[in-house]
Amino acid sequence: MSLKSSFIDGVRDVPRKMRDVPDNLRLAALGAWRGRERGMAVFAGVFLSSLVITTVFAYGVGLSQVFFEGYLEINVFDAKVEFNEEPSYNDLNGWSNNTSDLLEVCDEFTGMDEFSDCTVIMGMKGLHSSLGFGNENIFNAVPLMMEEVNSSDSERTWDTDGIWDYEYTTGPPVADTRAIALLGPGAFDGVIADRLSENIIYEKGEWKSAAAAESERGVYIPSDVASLANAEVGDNLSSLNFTYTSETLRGEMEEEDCGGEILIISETGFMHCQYTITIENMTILGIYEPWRQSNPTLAANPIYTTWTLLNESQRIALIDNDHIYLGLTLDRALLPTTSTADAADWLEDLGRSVMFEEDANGERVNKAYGSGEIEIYYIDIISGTILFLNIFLGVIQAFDYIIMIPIVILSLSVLVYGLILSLEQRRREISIHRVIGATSKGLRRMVLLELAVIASIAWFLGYLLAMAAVPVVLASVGFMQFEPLGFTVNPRLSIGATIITAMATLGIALIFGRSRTRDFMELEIDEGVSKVQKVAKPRVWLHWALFLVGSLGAIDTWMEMNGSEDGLITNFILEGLINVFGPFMLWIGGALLLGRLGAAGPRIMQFFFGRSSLLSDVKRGLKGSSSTESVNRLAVIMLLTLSIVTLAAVQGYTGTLVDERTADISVGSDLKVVMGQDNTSTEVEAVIAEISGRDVAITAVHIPQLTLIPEGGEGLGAYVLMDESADVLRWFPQAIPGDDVAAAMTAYQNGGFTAGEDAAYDMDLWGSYRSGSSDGGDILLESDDSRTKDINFTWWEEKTFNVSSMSLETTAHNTTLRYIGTHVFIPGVDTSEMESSIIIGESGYRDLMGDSQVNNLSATTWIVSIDGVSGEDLKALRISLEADSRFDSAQDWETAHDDVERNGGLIFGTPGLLTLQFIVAIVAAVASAFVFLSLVLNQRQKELAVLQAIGASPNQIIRLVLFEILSIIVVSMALGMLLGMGLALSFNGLFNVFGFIFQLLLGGESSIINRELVWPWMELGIVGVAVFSAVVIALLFTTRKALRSDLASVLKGE
Amino acid sequence: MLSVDELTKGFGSGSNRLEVLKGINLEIQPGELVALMGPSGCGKSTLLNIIGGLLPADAGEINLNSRSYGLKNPSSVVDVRRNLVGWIFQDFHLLDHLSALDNVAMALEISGVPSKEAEERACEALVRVNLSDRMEHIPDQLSGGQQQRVAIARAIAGNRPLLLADEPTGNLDITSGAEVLRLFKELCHDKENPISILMVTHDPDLASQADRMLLLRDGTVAASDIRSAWGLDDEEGGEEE
Repeated sequence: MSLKSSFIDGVRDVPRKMRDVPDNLRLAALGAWRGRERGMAVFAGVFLSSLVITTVFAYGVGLSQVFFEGYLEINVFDAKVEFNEEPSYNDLNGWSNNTSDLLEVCDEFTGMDEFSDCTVIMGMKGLHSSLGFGNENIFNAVPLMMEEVNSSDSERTWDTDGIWDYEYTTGPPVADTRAIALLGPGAFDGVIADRLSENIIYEKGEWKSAAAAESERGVYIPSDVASLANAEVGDNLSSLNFTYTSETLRGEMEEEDCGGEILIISETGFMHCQYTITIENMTILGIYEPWRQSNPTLAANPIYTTWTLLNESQRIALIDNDHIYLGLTLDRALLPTTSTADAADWLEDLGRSVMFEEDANGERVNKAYGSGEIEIYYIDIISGTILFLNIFLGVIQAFDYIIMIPIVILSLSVLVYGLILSLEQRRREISIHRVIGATSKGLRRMVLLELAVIASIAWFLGYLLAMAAVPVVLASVGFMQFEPLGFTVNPRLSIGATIITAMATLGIALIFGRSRTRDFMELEIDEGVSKVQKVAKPRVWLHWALFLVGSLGAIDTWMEMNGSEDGLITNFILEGLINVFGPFMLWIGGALLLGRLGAAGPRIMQFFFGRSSLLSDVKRGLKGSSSTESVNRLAVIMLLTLSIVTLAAVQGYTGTLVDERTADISVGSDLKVVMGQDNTSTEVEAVIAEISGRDVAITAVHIPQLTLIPEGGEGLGAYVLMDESADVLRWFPQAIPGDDVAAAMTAYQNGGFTAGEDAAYDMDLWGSYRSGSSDGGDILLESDDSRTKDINFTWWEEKTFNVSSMSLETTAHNTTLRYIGTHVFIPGVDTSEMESSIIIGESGYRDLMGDSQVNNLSATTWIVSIDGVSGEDLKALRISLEADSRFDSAQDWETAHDDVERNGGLIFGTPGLLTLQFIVAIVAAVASAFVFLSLVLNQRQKELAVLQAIGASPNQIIRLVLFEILSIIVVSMALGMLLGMGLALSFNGLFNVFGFIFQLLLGGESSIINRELVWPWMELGIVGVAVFSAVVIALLFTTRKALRSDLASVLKGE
Repeated sequence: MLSVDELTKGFGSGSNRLEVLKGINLEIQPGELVALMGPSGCGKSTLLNIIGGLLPADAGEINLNSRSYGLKNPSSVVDVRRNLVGWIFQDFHLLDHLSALDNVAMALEISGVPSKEAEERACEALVRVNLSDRMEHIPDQLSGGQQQRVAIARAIAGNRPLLLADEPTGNLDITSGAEVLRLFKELCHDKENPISILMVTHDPDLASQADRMLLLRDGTVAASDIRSAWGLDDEEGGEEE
């Protein structure tokens, strides 16, 4: 009964409560504003955690958008439309070999809002089923293959061996020949033309209109083909032959079954019956830069021309044999870019709607096009891309979430500590309310409502800022380095994700606030206004255990960085586990243990300053534990933030450097070029100068290779470092023995040689680790070192017949070189043979070859440094070189760096996340300093007033407070940086583990660059000084404020 | 020794302005224990705070051992608090984390006494207030009376000529209160080094034991008898606290 009546009362109360809501909210907002000092603690905590958590989520969404957009960029066609079945299977229905009918279908598609352009293409055969593993139809879908080009121009080398070989890297091995695609008129205007013309190299022709392409009998070729053929824009091709496939069988085709030629794909055993089609009298209208290969539905980087050059029978032959499809582009503005999942759904719906319709009976039937004659099969190229992306993205996100854990924990600690502090500040106010009769429920409601108002505003602002920050984070190409992405990223969080961010910040604030307030109320009842709070005894043994286990990973990395082969832990699985969990154990255990040391800061600093005049008159005030719990919390927060700042800076700069070194190692210097013919360095420099059109210093260096036979040993591959290599190549210490590049270069120039580890083993030299870890190391051996050794190398023995003596004389081309240590690589030279090779200097090479040959050294591959040309200019120069017929290929440093800067040393966006960590941690440090110190000084106001009453001057008070708090902060900051360095070491293992996973996933080669940590002392020093200054300012500000308060009132407790 | 001339002090502004002290004149001789009484809100504590250098007056002058002050900010009269007046509060106001000895020595060190000497003098002062066996105890380990005696030791250790006591027995039981008063008398009537004490109190019994009593009413020093001090003859009368 009473339950019922209380329920009825409750229901009756609802309207009143509803009426009170605006009033209560107004009062809560007013209360929050009045107590803004303590509110700031809550605000800072919720704001930071909202910023960080929202960023992490939105980053995931943004990342998928960026990947998606990035992959979209390299697709010319978004969809392929084929006949529903292969024409030969169904002689009459569902298809047409009349191009007008096909053009009509194209028009039907472009009539739909979703499609922006369409063209009829003769090229790759149809799949007629979805692209996937185990689908053998994919091997039937062969492209039209290039066979031969003839030109009357004798300078052109269209007969170069292997000119039509092409490796398709993204799909199954369907073909290994360069494809040709014959485009319809629709490809020469509109969106398709825009996309295709984008890659035409500057001053290497243009993408012309359909009429011009037809009348000029145009053809477009990729720059690698142009370079091999020495072809130029405007060249006339007397004939161009390509093959189409009539039938494909697996290993069963007899010659009599095929009227044409049988092509066997050796890798798969598929046999294709092929016929040749010839087009005569064509003109090269443009040379394009090849796209990165993407979705294998279409053959990558083909020769482009137009099927309007074919005669009717040729066209029909191609269509009848299924070499026909429609290339479609979508209106990408309609494609949801909020997430790949949304895009995939949209695409799936679109695919279904274009392929099927419901008949009169409501059953799903194939949709008919082109006056109802043609049934189509729709292949969505973008969805195929998304599938791969999602797997890859999942791993990247997992990695990035892991590295964001520390900052999330930090922001939540600021939140929790802020809440505790803010509630403690209300102790007196709550006591008074209780004395005047407020109920504990009512008081809790009052506190929580105020908390809710502050936390909601903080959450919302953090959320907004995070949304604005994510595009910036994603645009990072290195630590604290940003470059525009080239397209807009507009990350939006789903309602679910938004609720999670709110729950993780606002929710925690309210739940924690609620339980804390309840404890607080109970405390009041139990202990009255007791000053002593029971503090749970910390589990120090657990902190030690975490710290020690976590340290193993850091020690392991440190040992590996300092020459140890395997480090501390040799078991692969154990090392993996330590690498993943170690950093967090180290961080948490370390922060809790070192936090205690930080709180002992005043005692530590007193040891140094106790006797100075700075402290003589106030040092007694530092006795005992005058530092409150709040200052200790600030110490822990400083420790956490500084450790994150250090971690982010070290790993960030290391990642940036790894990216640069990856580019260094692949290109060697600014450019690496392969000429069509042997040239001397002077000639190469002159050609590059001519093409670049600039008057800049250009130095080209070649790294000759030869085989040398060490005394009593077998032949070894040897690389020669010409003297210019010291300046031209981008060296870094990992490559050479020792840490001093200049010293190593001088040693090479003075007749030294180095060996790879395997080569050292072969020659039984120190450095091979043959007899344990002492038998090797990264040291440049001096001439008086017992481990060095002179070895005589023979190049070859020249046998001549001496007419005067009538005898066969042997002249050995040999030289004696001194072993100076082990090398790892030469920048710009393939690393695969380095371990088993030796590197000699120019002087030894001259001994072997003779000066005249070395002085006129002529070669095709050159590594080139160009002063004053970098960035986009360097890329443009490389493209010009590549398209120039004198060069077979060219690489530039910028492009190599672009390839890795977003996904190399650190994975896409990770430098941005580290930058975000760095900035947020600094902001957290400064904000916590202001908020916490203001509250701490508030708590200590009475103590400061008493000190003044007994005769302390403001100067003495400031000295006392500054010394006490700053010594805690300084010690905590120093310990934080120390912890951060340990963390950076420890996290290196995690980076390696994920590096390994990415390699497995991408099938790429493992990088040989050591993740040697960069210690950015300068930046860390600046941050340290900046944070310290902020703390001093906060402290002076808050102390002065405390000193200005009315002494009499404070002492009266008013 | 202490003379206060025409001291005025008001709070607030405009229509909310309240003149608390309206021209106080008083004098205290060396070795005198003076009780200051008056109804609540009459300005006793305000007067004490101004004399003690915690609050500036609006007008008037204070002379204490030839140091003239009264209108200056608290930060400009550090020397007064350091050398001339010692404070004893109702809430004792000891530093929680320091021992009895450190509490006393700290006050001396702040005034520039070297550490060693400060400790010796603190010991002496604590012996004088009969706390020789409690020197290393922190305030939480001491009774109210003992804490107040530490506060007294802190106030007298620096040889200050004047002690200001704001309801020094307000938080103490009768025995402890009586003990504190006995200590005050001893200090005032010390032959070698007599100290003057100005004590705010609401306790007529305590006041009656003082050498002299001042009554503050309507912002001026009005009388020196207990009945008037308590406003018992007043029409509005009655005890307010």
